[in-house]
Amino acid sequence: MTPEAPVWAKAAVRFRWPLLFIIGVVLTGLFLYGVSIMSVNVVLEDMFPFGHPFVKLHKEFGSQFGGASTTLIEVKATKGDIFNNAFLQKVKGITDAIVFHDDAYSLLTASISERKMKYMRGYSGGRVEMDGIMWPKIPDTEKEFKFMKENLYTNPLYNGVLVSEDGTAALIIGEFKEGIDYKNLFNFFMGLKEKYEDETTSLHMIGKPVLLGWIYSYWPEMMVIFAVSIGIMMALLLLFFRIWQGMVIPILTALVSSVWGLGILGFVGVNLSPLLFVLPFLVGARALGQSVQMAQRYYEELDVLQGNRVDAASRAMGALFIPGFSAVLTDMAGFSVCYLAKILLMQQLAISLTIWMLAIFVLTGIFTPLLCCVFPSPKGKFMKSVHEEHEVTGKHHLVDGINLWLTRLAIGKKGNWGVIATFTILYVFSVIQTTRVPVGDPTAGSPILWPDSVYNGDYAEINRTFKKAGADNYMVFFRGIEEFASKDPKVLKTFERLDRYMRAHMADVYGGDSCLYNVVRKLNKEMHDGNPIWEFVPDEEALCTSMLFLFQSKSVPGDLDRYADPRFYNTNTLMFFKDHTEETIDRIRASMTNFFDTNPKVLDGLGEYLLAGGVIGMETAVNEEIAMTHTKVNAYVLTAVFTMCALAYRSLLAGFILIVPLLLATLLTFVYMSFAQIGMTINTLPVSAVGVGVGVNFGLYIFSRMKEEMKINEGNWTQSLMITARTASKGVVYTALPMILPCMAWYGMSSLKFQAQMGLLLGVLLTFNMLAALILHPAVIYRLKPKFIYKPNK
Amino acid sequence: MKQKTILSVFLFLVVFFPLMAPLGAEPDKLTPLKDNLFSIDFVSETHGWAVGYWGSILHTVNGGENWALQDSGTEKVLTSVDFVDENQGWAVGYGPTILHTADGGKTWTQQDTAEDVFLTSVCFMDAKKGWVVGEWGTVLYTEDGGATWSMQSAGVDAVLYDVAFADALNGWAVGEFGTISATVDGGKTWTPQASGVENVFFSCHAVDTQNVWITGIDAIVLHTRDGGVTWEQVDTGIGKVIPFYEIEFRNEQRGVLCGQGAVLYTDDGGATWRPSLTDTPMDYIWLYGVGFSPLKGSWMVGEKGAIFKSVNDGKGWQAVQY
Repeated sequence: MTPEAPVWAKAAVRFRWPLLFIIGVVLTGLFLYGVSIMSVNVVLEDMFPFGHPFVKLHKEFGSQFGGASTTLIEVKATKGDIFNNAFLQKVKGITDAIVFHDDAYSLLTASISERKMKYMRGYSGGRVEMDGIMWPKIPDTEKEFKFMKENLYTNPLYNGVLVSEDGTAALIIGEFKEGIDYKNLFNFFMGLKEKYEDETTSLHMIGKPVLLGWIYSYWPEMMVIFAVSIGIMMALLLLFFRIWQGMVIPILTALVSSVWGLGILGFVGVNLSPLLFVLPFLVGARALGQSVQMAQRYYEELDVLQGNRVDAASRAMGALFIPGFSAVLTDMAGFSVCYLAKILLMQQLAISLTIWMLAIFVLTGIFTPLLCCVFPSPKGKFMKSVHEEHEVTGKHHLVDGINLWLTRLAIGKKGNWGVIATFTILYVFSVIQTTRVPVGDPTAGSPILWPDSVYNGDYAEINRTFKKAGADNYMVFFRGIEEFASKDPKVLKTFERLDRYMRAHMADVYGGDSCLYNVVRKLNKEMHDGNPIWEFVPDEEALCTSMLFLFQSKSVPGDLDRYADPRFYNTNTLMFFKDHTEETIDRIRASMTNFFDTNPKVLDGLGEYLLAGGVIGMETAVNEEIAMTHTKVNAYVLTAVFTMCALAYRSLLAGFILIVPLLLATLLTFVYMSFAQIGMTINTLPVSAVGVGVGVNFGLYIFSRMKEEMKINEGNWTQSLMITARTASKGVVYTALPMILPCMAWYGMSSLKFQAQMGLLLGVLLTFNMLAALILHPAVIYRLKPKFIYKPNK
Repeated sequence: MKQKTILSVFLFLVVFFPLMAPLGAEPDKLTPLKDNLFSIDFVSETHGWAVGYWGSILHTVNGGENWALQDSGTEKVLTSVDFVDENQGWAVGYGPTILHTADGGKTWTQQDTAEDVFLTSVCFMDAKKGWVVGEWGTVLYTEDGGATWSMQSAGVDAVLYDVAFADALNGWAVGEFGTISATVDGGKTWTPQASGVENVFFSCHAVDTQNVWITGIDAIVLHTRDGGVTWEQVDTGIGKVIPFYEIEFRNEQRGVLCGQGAVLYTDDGGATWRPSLTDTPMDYIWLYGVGFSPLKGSWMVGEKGAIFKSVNDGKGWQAVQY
């Protein structure tokens, strides 16, 4: 088998006990401390691309106008309408609870029960009456309800926004701070539901804080799913190896690697979002896979060396050094290029996961063989089956039988071209299909949760009930260069023109806006005896100022804060949309560009319009960053893999042969994403990146084995390929299946659609990589008979 | 040779890879905006125009079955429209804006006026002679189809919201503070008339030189049977304090009154007013303009592009566009 073990491997085995102590106790203990300080909170700001102009604007205006953490609460009357005292008391109770919540921007809360939500009525002689709709007294008589309805339904700021057009629901809009404890906030929301829901009232809540709360609520379920996944892995390992060592050693290695990895995340300070829990699992599974290959190789060496555990361990270490190191390097390349994304979370992940992969190399390259060495040797049937691996005829284990059949197919006269042709067609199809992978969330509601989830049900309910409000908002700011600039009619009219543009061009998804010009229009009307012909923004700046002064004279400080700062330097428009899908975001982007092509962005002497903020603004920033990084990540990873493989085998052809199935697997992943409507997001990017790296491991394993077997079999390609099918190919299957099946199992178990889809995605990716290693590589090797594998002596 | 083949295939595949670009968004379909409408005028059973917010001018050539937006060239509010035939028409509004068309609205051109005021109402007797009223008691008069406009003072410092003429000589203008100003010489001189109230008047209609109707805020309706020497308040029986924005009569007997969430009609010369039947709830919308076509059609416009049609002089209304 393998030539003599290298010196370093021999030394490692000689000092196995001290090494095991250092790795298993000292370092693992240190990393356990790291695990204890790891944060599993979500910090929204960490997920935004820090250099993006939209994010900078969010930082500048976020605390003034809110936007990224908007929460909508629909209070629905399930019987009758909202116009009765008991129901309105509930609306007030919920609104007050939000206003007084420590994490809310109180002044930005909008609800019909808020004092700042006023009615304005013009009477004969220019008298204007202005007072709270539900303040200071909550209506209680038919006459008062009638008056209230008139005030609500005749005001575009309220009708369809804070009260549904059919009068069956009220909407409360809350703005929350960032970097808060979303678990606590979610408990607060659930508390409101518990307190106010009854047979006449239901509450529906959406927005980023609510969504994050729902995700956290699935934490116990995630733990169960991970436990089941580990159980499946253990069962498969037992089934494959049929010895306890075959199960315990890889699982132990994976567990230690997980402690190390999570510890690194803790030390680096990564805030691990629950949505990214897939990643540690995947990396842990990678450790398991590498460890399985190492254990299998160890037992092969043990068979050859007739039970010499020390030599078997050092030879296995030496033999798998290059393929193991190359595979790890590939994974490291995959993770490290995520650093290119100018998103703090991605950069932190890039650093920690790269270090983690290095740790896996140490653990699977040293820790696993040392464990094999110190564990008792298996006997009997198992070693007999290992011994028979070099026989390619006769009765076989099921996996061996399938592998041999596949290899025969791949190198057969017709089968060979057939396999190559099939994969080529698949490739072309995938390339074409790949163009359809969306960037960002491809569906309305949250794609993280299933369509029938409470959250997505509430999302649809609110969009259905409130025609002019929407769950997703987009903000355009105006930064004035001097005091009162934002009251200028030119500024306000441009915002109105923008609203009209959006209503004309995006009526299907655009709900409406909330902007200072709406207030001015309404004031102008009411100051002119309520005559509708006056409902417009007047040309005279002085008139706008005097009307707003009148409004403020009837208000308390902060009533206009949603629209402008107290000195009217800056203002904004808050536009509501029905979703934040990629298509909607693209259309908004195009609409904004077209609009500002014909309307000046800079108003001389006044200031300039700035894009953009709000939930969709931030989503746009992230999507743009992800789209840019996504292409770079793929390009760099593939270049890195190519270079590394070419260098490892000192052959450009080796680089090409190894990269093609990898490229294909990656493209097929995208095909699946386009069919399953999974968008490329901040959550999928690292999964996609690591997926690129996973496949090469299998290929390297097959190639290295072929190289060895060709020497032993003196250039007999067929014999070497068949033996490889029984050895390395089996290793590939043993490595892949304990990763594939648990991932697939997530699909049926997870309440998080995202996690289920990621599981299936990884399962598909790994399956394809496995099939490429089992069929495509033998076919290509047989067809090309590359010299980097075997060069006959002339 | 084989290696070259595989390399060629690979390069071919790589060429496809950069195609991984997201598809562009579909071009947007334009949705017509439903702007507030303030005035409607029909010159025949088929041809009519309505004007309103953001310079919107709607036109129909088939009795209101279809409406097309005409390019007014302005974003200003247009509050009143008057056509004398299928080609000649005027629309006025904020700005000040006086638009004129001589081709049925295919092209609209701005007519000059020196007065920088909000113009609220227009009334033309024929293709040459017309009046416009607006802020600060402004009355503008033309005898050449608007080529030149001359100032006529109503003698009041109030916003005038409507002007109506019974013939080329006898006309009335109404507005803020209970203002009624009348002329018996085609606008050369205007004389205030005592309304007896201080309500804002939004609309007036001259059935003939003696029989004139006025309406306004707080559901007020005034009527004179003596050309304005005396005005009497009419009880419409509506029972609520709402603004009435427009009153129009087809003839001495049949008239329509509309305002905030209400439409009334009379078929006995205003002795009794009854709520009209509508196929759309009107509780929370306002109706601002009423117009009659020469034979039997009645038209009404209002909030968010609402257009209603009646074929029985206002007894029942169907939404044409809402």
